[in-house]
Amino acid sequence: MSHEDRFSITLDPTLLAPEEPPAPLDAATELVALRSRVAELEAEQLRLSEQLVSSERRKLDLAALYVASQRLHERLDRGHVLEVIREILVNLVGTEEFAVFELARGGRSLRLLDSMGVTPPTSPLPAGSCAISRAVAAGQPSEVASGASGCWPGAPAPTICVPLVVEGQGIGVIVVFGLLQQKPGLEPVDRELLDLLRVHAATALHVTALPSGEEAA
Amino acid sequence: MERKKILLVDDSRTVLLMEQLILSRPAWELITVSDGAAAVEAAQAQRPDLILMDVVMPRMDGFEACRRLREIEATQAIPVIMVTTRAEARSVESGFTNGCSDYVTKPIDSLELLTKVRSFLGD
Repeated sequence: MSHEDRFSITLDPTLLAPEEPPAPLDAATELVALRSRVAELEAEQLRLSEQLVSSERRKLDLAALYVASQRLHERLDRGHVLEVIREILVNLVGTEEFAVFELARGGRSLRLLDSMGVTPPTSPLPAGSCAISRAVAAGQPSEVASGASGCWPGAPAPTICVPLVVEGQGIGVIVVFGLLQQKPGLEPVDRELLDLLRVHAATALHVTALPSGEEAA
Repeated sequence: MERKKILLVDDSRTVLLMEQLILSRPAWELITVSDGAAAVEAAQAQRPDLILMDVVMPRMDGFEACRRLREIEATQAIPVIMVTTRAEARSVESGFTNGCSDYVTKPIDSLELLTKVRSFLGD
């Protein structure tokens, strides 16, 4: 084979011919096609807007979890931690009827640490005596069945119990007795906040109860 | 372009942090105070374009602070959005009677708050 034969290129003559322009649409058909395309674009824009709103809302839900976590751990002071738990419950979850209990040494009773909007108990709650004290061992937040009775004289029935858990052990419980009027029920972010309290409020309270370095020495 | 100023008033640092995260925008400057008396002072000093005001606060509550702001020439035109857990009709009416421009209940709906703030700031 000669040098020329080896490197010669033969083009398909049809590729060199100019493309035939498409047949022109009549105006009515083109209008229909354009309207259909506009409708498609509007639907896509709506879908993207809804996706954007959903993402924005989720971002702000995560901001609430971040704020709650940061506030719980910013100071090693029991009074401060209880104040922050109160702020989270009132302003982020949406309740002004709650109580926070801690398991007393020996684990035989629950001692009240803080409450709002309910008549506080006058003495510790014996372990296992009611829905609240039984919730300490439950490990996970739970909604109490309607019809449950109050755990002490003058107490309303609990609606949500959030055990406070450190290393798998219940050390206390947060009890919600009712939500604010404008809050019809718990939303997914509220459940995430309560679950955050379950672990992080528990850790923060537990740490503030540990002896300081000076005391330990 | 000059940034719009928003004065955030709440005795809860948790709420102030949340509002700052919700409203964090390059075009907005956020100022925080923790009671109504400080809000009246800050409004006169800073001349914010909008105030978000809690109701239940020490020293001076939000209704009283709003009333005072309406009495001062330099601050009487600043729109005030009350941000509160109180959703009863009587409480809402009291807010408007004392001069607030709008009302948002807690827990704050982030997107609702953003929409209202943008509306008042013309963004």
